[in-house]
Amino acid sequence: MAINYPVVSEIADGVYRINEFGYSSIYVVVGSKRALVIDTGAGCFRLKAAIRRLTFLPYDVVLTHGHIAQAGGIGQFENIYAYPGEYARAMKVSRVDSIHFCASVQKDRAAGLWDDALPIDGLWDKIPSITELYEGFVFDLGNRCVKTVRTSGHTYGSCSFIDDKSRIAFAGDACGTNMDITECCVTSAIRGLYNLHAHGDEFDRIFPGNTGGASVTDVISISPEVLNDCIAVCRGILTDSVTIHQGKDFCTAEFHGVKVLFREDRLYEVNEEPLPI
Amino acid sequence: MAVDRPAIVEIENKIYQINEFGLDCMYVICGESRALVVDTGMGYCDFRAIIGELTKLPYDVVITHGHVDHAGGADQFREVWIHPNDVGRAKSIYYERRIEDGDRFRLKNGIWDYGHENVRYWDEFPGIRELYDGQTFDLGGRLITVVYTPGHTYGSCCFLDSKSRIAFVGDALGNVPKSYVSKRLIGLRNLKKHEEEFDRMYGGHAGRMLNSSSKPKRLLDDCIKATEMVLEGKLPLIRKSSHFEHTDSRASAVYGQDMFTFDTDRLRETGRWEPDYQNYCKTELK
Repeated sequence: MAINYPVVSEIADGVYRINEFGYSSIYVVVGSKRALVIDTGAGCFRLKAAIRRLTFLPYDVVLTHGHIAQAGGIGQFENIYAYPGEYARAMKVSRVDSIHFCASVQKDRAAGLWDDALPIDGLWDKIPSITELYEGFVFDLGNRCVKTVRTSGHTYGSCSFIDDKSRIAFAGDACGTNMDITECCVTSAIRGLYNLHAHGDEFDRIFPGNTGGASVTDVISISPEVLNDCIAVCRGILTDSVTIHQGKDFCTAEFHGVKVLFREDRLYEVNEEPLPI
Repeated sequence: MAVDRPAIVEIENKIYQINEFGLDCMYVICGESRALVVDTGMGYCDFRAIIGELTKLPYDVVITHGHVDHAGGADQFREVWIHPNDVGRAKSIYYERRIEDGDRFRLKNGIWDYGHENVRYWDEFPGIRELYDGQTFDLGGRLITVVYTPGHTYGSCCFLDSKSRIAFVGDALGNVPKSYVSKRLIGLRNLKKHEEEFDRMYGGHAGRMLNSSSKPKRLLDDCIKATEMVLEGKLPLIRKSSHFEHTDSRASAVYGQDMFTFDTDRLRETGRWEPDYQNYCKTELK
């Protein structure tokens, strides 16, 4: 028998990570007055019920970005917080897309650890309203505040969230040992990473939006040093100081164990002056 | 495929919970200069290698109590800290015993995968250092205080971390298999004295699944109340024989979130006064 339920781990006082069958990570931050739910998963389980098992407080739902693995569950909620461009992307996510996504992950994963869960019906009908996020937006949860930091790179509207009590940065897919910045140009990614780096004294740990692989059962944070390595790789791409492997569609640059997937034709924004590095 | 290595969860900055195949939990607490390892598990995994992955600091090993699922892996270390009352119990855990108990406790949920080949044979028991109530371990930036909480065994101890405000309670809030119920009350009241020093409690078992969470804070109060009420004879008992020993004197009591099993012949150490349980025994269970 495989694991047929999302795995919940407490990663700090009042902070929970829900591992959705290895597809994605959802975080629930519980304060004294309100709670905050970061991302909604791919829609393979009833997130609302899972949140109610963790807290009875009223809560807000926020998206780090609008990909399927993060925005698949938004149909369960009345209102979500997202960066404007990401909301538009999130609204386009359909159940069929999510089924394709889950099937593709299932194909790659090590056989049998997780149940082959597919997006469930009934979570996709509601159209939530949006509250727009901006840089520096603060969620006041009572005894803790969660601050929004814009970290473009994985997508243009990606955001990270820093909880001041547990000193954790929830980075979504903006930072990690496997970065995918094929949707964006490299300079945007550098700007986003620098923006997170500027808040470096406010967090000790980074938790990513992915699960680190479908066969990974450990829940271990990313060290903030990985952020420096991510910046180093992206800078290295522009200055040609890292080894770049030419792939079929995309290029990969690797440095200190950090892999960055990028497009060779999108180093700079259109009409952008080269970034001084 | 099932999970064939212990699951590691970072429960706080630099504190790791290692769930050994759903059998039990170990903790690694890293300070700036030293680390502390709480419990050694059954020895069904190469725990030393896992500690090495998590930290490069020198470390001490402390054992909450001398049961096989907490002290069984002790022999892979050179030296362990344990309360003197549990030394004898910890020393009597043999290789064969661990193999046998690994099968006995094996969960049938199909998530965990471990076999006898994982159990290592060590021929020497480590050096013993004795724990006492109020002892501290300075890890650099965090101080771990030992709280003596007998009840589950005669030598159970809890460990309080000053920085993360977590109490590692082992099985102190659990059953009373061999010791006395009155001992449990002494131990729990001792932990209650330190109530201001911790926000979360983590036990010696994380549950059978991969989920990991701290114990509810009110559990300690419920445990104390349950123990007091059992000693006063006010709590209805559920008669049942334990999984491990089939004796008629086993009974369980439930109060709030606490349910604990004990021996009705072993309520108070003095043994002078005992309430008449036969009259209000609520449920008979086989």
